[in-house]
This record gives sequence, structure tokens and C-alpha cells, in this order.
Amino acid sequence: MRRRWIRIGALLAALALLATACSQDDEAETTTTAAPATTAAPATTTTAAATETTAAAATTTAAPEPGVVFGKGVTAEPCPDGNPDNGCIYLGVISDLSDGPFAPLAIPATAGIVEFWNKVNADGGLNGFDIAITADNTVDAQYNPSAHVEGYVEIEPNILLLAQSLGTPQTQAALPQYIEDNMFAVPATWWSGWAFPETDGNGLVLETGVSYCLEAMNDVDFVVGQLGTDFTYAVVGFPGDFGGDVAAGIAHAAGEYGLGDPVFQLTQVPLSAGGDVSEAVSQILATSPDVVFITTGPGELAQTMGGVFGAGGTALFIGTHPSWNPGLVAQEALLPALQAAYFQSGFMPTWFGESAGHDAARAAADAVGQDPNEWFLIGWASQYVVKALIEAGIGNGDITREGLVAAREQLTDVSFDGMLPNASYVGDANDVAPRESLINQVDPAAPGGTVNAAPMFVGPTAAAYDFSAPCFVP
Amino acid sequence: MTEFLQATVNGIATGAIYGLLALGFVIIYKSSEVLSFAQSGLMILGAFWVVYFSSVLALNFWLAVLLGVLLSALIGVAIERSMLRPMVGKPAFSVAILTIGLNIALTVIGFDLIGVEIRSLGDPWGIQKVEIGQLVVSQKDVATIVASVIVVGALLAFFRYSRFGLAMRATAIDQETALAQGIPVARVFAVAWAIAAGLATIAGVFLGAGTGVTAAIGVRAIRALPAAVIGGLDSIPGAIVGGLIVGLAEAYTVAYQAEYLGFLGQNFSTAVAYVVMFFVLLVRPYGIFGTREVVRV
Repeated sequence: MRRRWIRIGALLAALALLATACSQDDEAETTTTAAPATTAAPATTTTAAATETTAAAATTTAAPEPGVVFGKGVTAEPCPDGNPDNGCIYLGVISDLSDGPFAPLAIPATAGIVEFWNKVNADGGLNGFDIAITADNTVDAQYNPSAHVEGYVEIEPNILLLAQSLGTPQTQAALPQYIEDNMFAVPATWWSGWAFPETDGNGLVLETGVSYCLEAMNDVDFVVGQLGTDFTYAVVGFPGDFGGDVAAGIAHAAGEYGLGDPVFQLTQVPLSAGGDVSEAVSQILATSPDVVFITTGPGELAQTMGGVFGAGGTALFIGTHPSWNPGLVAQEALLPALQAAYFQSGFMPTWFGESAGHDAARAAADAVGQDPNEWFLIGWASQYVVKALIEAGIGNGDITREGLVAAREQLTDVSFDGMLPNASYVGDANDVAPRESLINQVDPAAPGGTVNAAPMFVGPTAAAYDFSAPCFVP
Repeated sequence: MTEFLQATVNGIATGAIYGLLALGFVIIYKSSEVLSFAQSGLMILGAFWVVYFSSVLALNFWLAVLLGVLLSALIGVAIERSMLRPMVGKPAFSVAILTIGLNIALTVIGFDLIGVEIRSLGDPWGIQKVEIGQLVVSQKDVATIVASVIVVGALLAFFRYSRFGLAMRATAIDQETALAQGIPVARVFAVAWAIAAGLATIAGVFLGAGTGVTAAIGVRAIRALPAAVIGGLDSIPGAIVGGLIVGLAEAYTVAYQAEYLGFLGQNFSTAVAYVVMFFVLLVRPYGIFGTREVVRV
């Protein structure tokens, strides 16, 4: 019996050693795998502080800023490794950090968020407070709504707000709790419903950038600009808001241009959920659309394009921004097809975009060894609104969650340091929701793997769209 | 007609991959009467080794495949020696549960190793195609079919002509008698796991060829279990036939279901393996080629 356990132990130890050795080699190869280490880094000495935060649930007016009221998720004590004279504001993250269709994007995005706040702290913090995102307050929900909600309940007492809440179904599942807790959340999802108080918890969801729906309208405008209106098209997208919102935007634009119905419209189950791209490939080959609007993750995009081009088919693929990942550049076999027939729409100027925000983000990425990645920039840019909100709260002398709800009304001109056009979070969605997006194309020589093909624009369809309700309601 | 032929070729290529995985199930089951649910975990891990050797260590692709298969086979042996051997004589249910746990452990390790990126295998086929008349077939599909024929042929020859293959067949028929004849049954069990792990690695290579390996390939491998059940859990030809049936059923569903059975909804092809399994089991509870179990009352 004893020998058996020794054998099992030896096998497990050998496998673990092998896994560790190989993982380390991988980290040298791919930067995205290094991102969690960055994310987790602040946590190494923070367990005690995070526990302390839990205890600091009651509202208090203690130091460091006399007259500033704070409560859950804020302590008078400094952050771990923070400025010793500052208090600490703890933020949470609920993301896909190991598995799920968007993990390749979520990891660099989360790294961007963490580095944004590291930069803020390095610059002295926010009026007497540093910001901390600790491993204790970071949930790897793996695109699972239940895990998202469970994780949220666990970290809620420790945090002031959520610096990232990934996924529409996940964020929607947790929204009733967010509303109950007055919990602001930055969505890593661009569902059009986040622009409306009825569907975003009266403004608790603080989105940055254009919604999928309006981005899709711009995509159709772009294609019409390239091909005219005499083309056939297909729509392939994930179930739920992501695919649904894009499909609604395409349908609206197609109606405006009189393009007619798509030759087919397919709901693509994510590969990680047991999906298979063969149906998409088969239908593309059978119906030969000129254009495929694809709203999936990078894995599904790669397999679909590989299947189509490998079987002699061809089509122009327009993917919404989560369809791309710089890792696709390493797929040498697919690269010619990607270069020739894939455009990625998005809302963030590529890695070498010219703005103060881009400069700061690039410097921060360089400092931590982060490879060029659009999602690092998106994560970084998503935090400007949080910074503006907390600064407004501090200015009002109240950074309790309730205080932040009141401070939201002051977010009429949030600056993104030039990364994106200034945005207002107050007012009617039809007036204030961003409508600008851009189009990138693949260039393996470019940092991040893409270069800009069409700079920020608002197409005629998106410009004229009456944005008075979510384009798609799951 | 072209569409039908195209679907047939696609189905055979996919079925060949399922067949390789199902063979692993069957070889383990035949030799040791263990119903192993660890094939998808072995496949993820095996595919990673090939990625590691070809992309990280930049070895020649074929050498990477060879090393990946050998390393997987060693892991298969180690698993058998350390985890399955102590379970000899224990209830089949307990052993099956153990392999489910083993699959979870292997999958977690594989996920960790592969990471969230799409990992390139560096295979020579990419997304290139060959044209046969009006048919356009991807080189990867051709390679899958050819490699599967070679592997299955080699395995059948091994079981038929080699001394150890004969020993494995004898063990499959009756372990106690084989033991009495001096056959090293314990070694047979270990070799069965080695072969199964090697087959899983080859299947993983062809699943990830062209467009890269992701951790999600393990989900696809689960469909090889219906293939093994359809063919009969103790039949090597059954595993191949079962794999082809599932592959073809999926391909024809993809090609024709939307047109003729649209009411079944989209993505029905991902479920069709289980529907086929259900109907086969209704008619032949031991699978198409499975041995009927006779119990003396």
C-alpha cells in the first residue's frame, strides 16, 4: 500500500515538475501568459491588507483625507507596497484568466488595468489614496455566469467597485447584486444595452468605447465603401449579446442599404463549450458569400478561415474587435489568408496610436515586459472613467459607494488622454453614446499584428441611427 | 453529387480522428477491461508535447510528432503502473471513476501547458488544398486519412504477427489463461496504455493541424466515446467503423440538416454522435461489432 502511494506521489511530482519546466519555457515565448503574474504580483504581500479591508465595512471619516467619507473597499491604511501616507482603495476584477473563449484577450486587458493603476500610484495616487487590485479580489470566472456571481459575492465586501466585469451574460447575471450593493462595474463587453439606465443598473455599468451594434453598422458602411452595395453576406456569431448585438447592427445597416437578407446567419457555439466550426465552414463553402461578418473569439475565427480557405473557398471576413488576437500572427499557415481577407473592426487605435495615453500605456507595458497587444490598451483605457469617478467622489468628500453614485452625474467630459475621444456618461444615449470605430488589417511586422486600414470614423448608418433602445436584448 | 462527395471526404477525415481515439478506448478495454475516460486528457497533453517540440524547441515536425508520441506513451505507462495497476481486481465502476478523475487532472495540466493562446504545431499541410476532379480537399484531411490507415494497418499487423501483439490478444480473451501460459499480463496492460496515449497524441496532432492547437480540442475528443460505443467497446474494427460512422454522420448533418431537417436547429451536428449511439444501442446493445455478453444464470 505504501509503495503504491509513493508511486502515485512520484508520478504526480514528475508531471508537476515537467509542467512547471515547460510553462517557464512558454512564458519566455509568449507574453500573454506572463500577464497573470503581473496581475497577481500585487497580491504577494496583500492578504492581510485585503482581510483588513473586509473588516472596514462600516463608513468612516478617518485619515488620510480629512473630510472624505469612505466605506467598503477603502481603508485609511496604505495599500501593500503603496505610498505610506496614502489610504487604499481596493478594486475587484472578474475576468477569464485561464479558460473561456475570451481568455486570450482578457489576460492582457487585465494587465492593462493593473498597470494603469500602478502608474497612478507611482504618480502619487488619487488625492491621498492609492489603488490596489489584489489577487484576493481577482476572480477567474472562466466565462461562467455562476462562477462570476459566486466570485462577486465573495469579493464584494472587500472592494469599492469592479475595475472589470467580463461578459454580458455574466455581468447581467450579477447586475441585480451590483444594484443592491451600488457596485459600479467596468464591463469587458460592449453590449448596446450598457448605454441605457434600464439595462445597466441606472448607470452602474461604466462602458468605454462604441457598442457592438454601432461598430457593426460602421463595419457595413466600410464594406459598402469598398464593394458598393452589390455583394452577398453571411453572419456568424456567438450566441447571446455579442453575436446578437452585432447581427442587429448589421441587419439595420443592411436594411438601410437595401442589401437584403444574409445568405445565412449562424449561431456559433464557442469551441470551449463544445462547439464546432464545421457548420460555418460548410455553409460558407455552399453559399459562397462575398463577405462574412464574424463575431466570435480568435480560435473560432482561425478555424473557420482555415476551413474555408483550406477547402478552396474564399470570402472577405470582417471580425468585430474580440475576434482578433496577436497570437494569430504565429499561425503561419493561416497568415496569408488573414492578410488577404480579414479586417478587424475596433475602437482603439493600434499599438502605435499617437496620444499621451498611448505613450503612457506603452511605457508601462515595456516596463513589465508586456508584448504589444491592443487589449492591454483597451484595459488601460477602460480605467479613465473609474479614475474620473473616484476623483469626483473625493472632490465631493464622499467615496462611499453611494457617494460615487452621486458623483457619476459629474462625468460629463471624461478624458482618455487622447486614446479615445472624450466621452460623457450623463445624458441620453442617443446624444452621448460613442459611435466611432475603426478598421484594422493584419500586418505581421506591426506590433500587435495589425495596422490601421481606416481611422476612427462614424459611418452614415451609425450617425443616423436612433439609439433609443438596446439593439438586441438577450 | 459534389457536395455529397465533399461531405464524405470531410466525414472520413474527421471519422479517422475519432477512430484513432476510439481505438485507444478499445485497446485498453480489451486488454484490461478498464473503461478509460482519460483519452481526451491524454490527447490534450500529447498535442502539447508536439507543440512544445516543434514550436518551442523548433524541432522538425515529424521528429516532434515521434517524440510527442513516445513521451505520451511513457506517460501512459507511468499512469498505468502507478494508478491503474493497484486497482486490478477492484470493481470496474471504481476504476472507471478513477479514469474520470485522471482525465480531469490531465486536462487541467494540459490547459495549463497550452495556455489560452492558439499554439502552432508547425505542420507541413497548413490550409493548403488538393483538387481531385471537382472535389477540393484540404491536405490536412488527406494526411489524416493516410496516416490513420498507416497507423491502423501497423496496429493490426502488430496484433496479428508480433509475439507481443499475440500476447495482447490472448490476454484480451482470457487474462487468467494468458497468465498461466506465461504471458506477462502486467506488461500487456502497460503497453495498452502506451498505445492508447500514442494514438491520442496522433489524433490531437490532426485535430490541431492547420489552424493550431487550443485547449478546447479536448471537448471535441469526447465525441470519440460514442464512436467506441457504437463500434463495440471490445472490437478494434468496431472502433474504426464507429469513428467513421460518427464522422460521416456529423459531416452529412452539417451538409444537409439545415436544408432538410431545419427544425432541429443550428449546430445539431455536435449532438448527432449521441443520437446515432442511442439508436445503435437500441438495436445492438453491445455495439455493432461488440461481443455479446453471455451470463449463466
